[in-house]
Amino acid sequence: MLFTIANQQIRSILRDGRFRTSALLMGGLFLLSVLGTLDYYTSLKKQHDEATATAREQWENQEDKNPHSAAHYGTYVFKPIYPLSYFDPGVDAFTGNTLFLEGHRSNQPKFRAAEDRGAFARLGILTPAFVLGMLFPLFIILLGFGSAATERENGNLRLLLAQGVKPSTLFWGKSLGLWAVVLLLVLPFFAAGAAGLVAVNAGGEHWLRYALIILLYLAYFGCFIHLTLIISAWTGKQNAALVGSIGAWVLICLLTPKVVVNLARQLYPAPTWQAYNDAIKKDLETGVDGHDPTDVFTQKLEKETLAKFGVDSVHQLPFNWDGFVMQKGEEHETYVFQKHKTRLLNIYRQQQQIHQAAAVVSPYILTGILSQQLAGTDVNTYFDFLAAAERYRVQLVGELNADLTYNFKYGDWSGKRGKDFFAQNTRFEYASSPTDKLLGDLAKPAGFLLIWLVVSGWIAVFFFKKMEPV
Amino acid sequence: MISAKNLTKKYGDKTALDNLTLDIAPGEIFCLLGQNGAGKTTTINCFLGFTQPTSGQAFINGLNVAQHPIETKKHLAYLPEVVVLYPNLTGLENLDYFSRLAGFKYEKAELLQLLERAGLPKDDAVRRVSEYSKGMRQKVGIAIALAKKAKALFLDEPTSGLDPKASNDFTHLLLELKEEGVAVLMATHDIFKAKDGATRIGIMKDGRLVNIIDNLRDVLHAKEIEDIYLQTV
Repeated sequence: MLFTIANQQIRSILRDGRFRTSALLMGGLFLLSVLGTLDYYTSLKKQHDEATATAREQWENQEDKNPHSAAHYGTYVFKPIYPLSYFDPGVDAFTGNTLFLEGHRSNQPKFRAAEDRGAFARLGILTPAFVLGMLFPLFIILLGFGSAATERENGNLRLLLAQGVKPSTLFWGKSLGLWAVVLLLVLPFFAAGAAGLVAVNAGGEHWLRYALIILLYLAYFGCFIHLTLIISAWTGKQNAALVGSIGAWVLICLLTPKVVVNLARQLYPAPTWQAYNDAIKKDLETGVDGHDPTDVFTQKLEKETLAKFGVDSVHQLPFNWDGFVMQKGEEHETYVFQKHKTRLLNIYRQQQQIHQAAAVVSPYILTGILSQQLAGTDVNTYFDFLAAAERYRVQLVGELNADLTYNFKYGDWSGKRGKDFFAQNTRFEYASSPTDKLLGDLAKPAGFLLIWLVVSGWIAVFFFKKMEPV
Repeated sequence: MISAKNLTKKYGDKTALDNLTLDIAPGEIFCLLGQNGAGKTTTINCFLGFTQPTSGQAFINGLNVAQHPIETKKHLAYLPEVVVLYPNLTGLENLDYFSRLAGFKYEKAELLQLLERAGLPKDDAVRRVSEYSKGMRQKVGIAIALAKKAKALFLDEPTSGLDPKASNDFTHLLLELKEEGVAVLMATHDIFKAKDGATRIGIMKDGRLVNIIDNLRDVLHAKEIEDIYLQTV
């Protein structure tokens, strides 16, 4: 009986002009989004690979110079572009993924894609994730809003129930029918997405992530199928069901995400750029400055070091004082930057916690969080990259200062290092968090999404049973 | 086959159905006459389980409707006043769908035969319902009711939308079913058709069954029933 109802639902929808029009529209938009982002991804990936190679080549082939001067010369690192970022670019467009590393200071990433595109980019770019997350629910609503309401209004429900159909069977049949139509349209989408992965030559781990993305969006669509059926049965009137479903869509997909972001910012405000930099500047003055011998902290360090080694002058130290004081200054600077960055990061984390907690009310937010995590374009992956880049900076500058300290004589600023030395400096290697750790992070939001799916189905059965066949 | 015991339905202060007691035996056609709002549809709704009675019971084939909502459906067929169906499906597909829901899988030839018996020719049966007139949809509804082979038949203004010939054919169909031992409860405004088909006629007013005419063989003209009806309501 279940399949009879589902089959009838499928036939009715497929023969309806609304389906053909909206399916064509959806298909067109999705194809456009895949082609558009794939093109963007491949050109970005190419730029990045080239830039990564160029940055290292420039580092190794820099003019012969003093190792500390090389720390000032600096180098670039790039956040890897993952194959699935074409599916869901996530925060990548807003955060920038190019970082300049140098001695004495910890920089902010540059080259945000959103900067190039202006305010329009914030409205959402046409990405596969946007089409599936934001637009596809409208397609489900359009096909399903009448499922119960139309039957009730035109009297077919009376005939159905008189034939001995249980209301719960009617619900399962209707949702099965909607599922079939949704799959009919969305499976080619996922195949197109997979073709995209083949095109960018993605590795096995990314296929696992992609499989999870497919499951994720199917669960998300399930929530909207249930929601549409709930509202259809609850209102019992076509017009009210359409208005109600679109209202729910506005609430879930447009309103809550904005409200939640603003709420998080209100509760845990981040300092202004100005205040943040001023605080760092102020703290930098409370420690050793390697470039300023008159600095009180430098002088204090000098006294202590001389006393420790029992000598009268920095000339008599068993190492190059210049290199030593540079490294001490670097350590202080690193400490200050780290302190303020951690403070800022904690504010962001608190905002994120609000976001995750509030995500419970909107399957759209839950799906967004999970989709970005799976694509490797979420904010945690970004912070992870920044932390790795900072560790690398500390290591590289430390190597250079150590060379100056132990391999150069005091006052020898004209001594130089060449290509053979720079080529031996540590390379930046960054791998995103492994998939098994990722799966742990996914568990909670995925659990909430499943609860949404199950509870909404349960509520839908309740409203189908309550529906009066007037 | 169809029986009600002190069946009462109240909506707040208003009594839609007042202490109805009724027994319709197999092979009997009981016609309910009455003005709009007299309680005819409420009576049918109670038997279909769509309305829960405030007190009293409705029985189909000896089973209490409120206690056996699904089981009682197996013994009854229902024809609503307006049959809408699914416009994107053909009449044949609609009949097939509703029959399957009731647990019957008919061959195409059998379905066509049912539609023909209900007065819908084969050429029309394979057209989409969106092209149908009200009367044609009504005929598919009749076929759906026939296909269930039920022992209790509930008809709510079944001839509305049927032309006089179709309406007449329908009365003959009812008489055939009567011979087959089907118990029929029919709500109608058509006194003439009631006189032709019914074994008994009940007149309802304000939720009460106020008058039962069971000596229909002695009634010569529909006019006499009309007079009784007008005096009653």
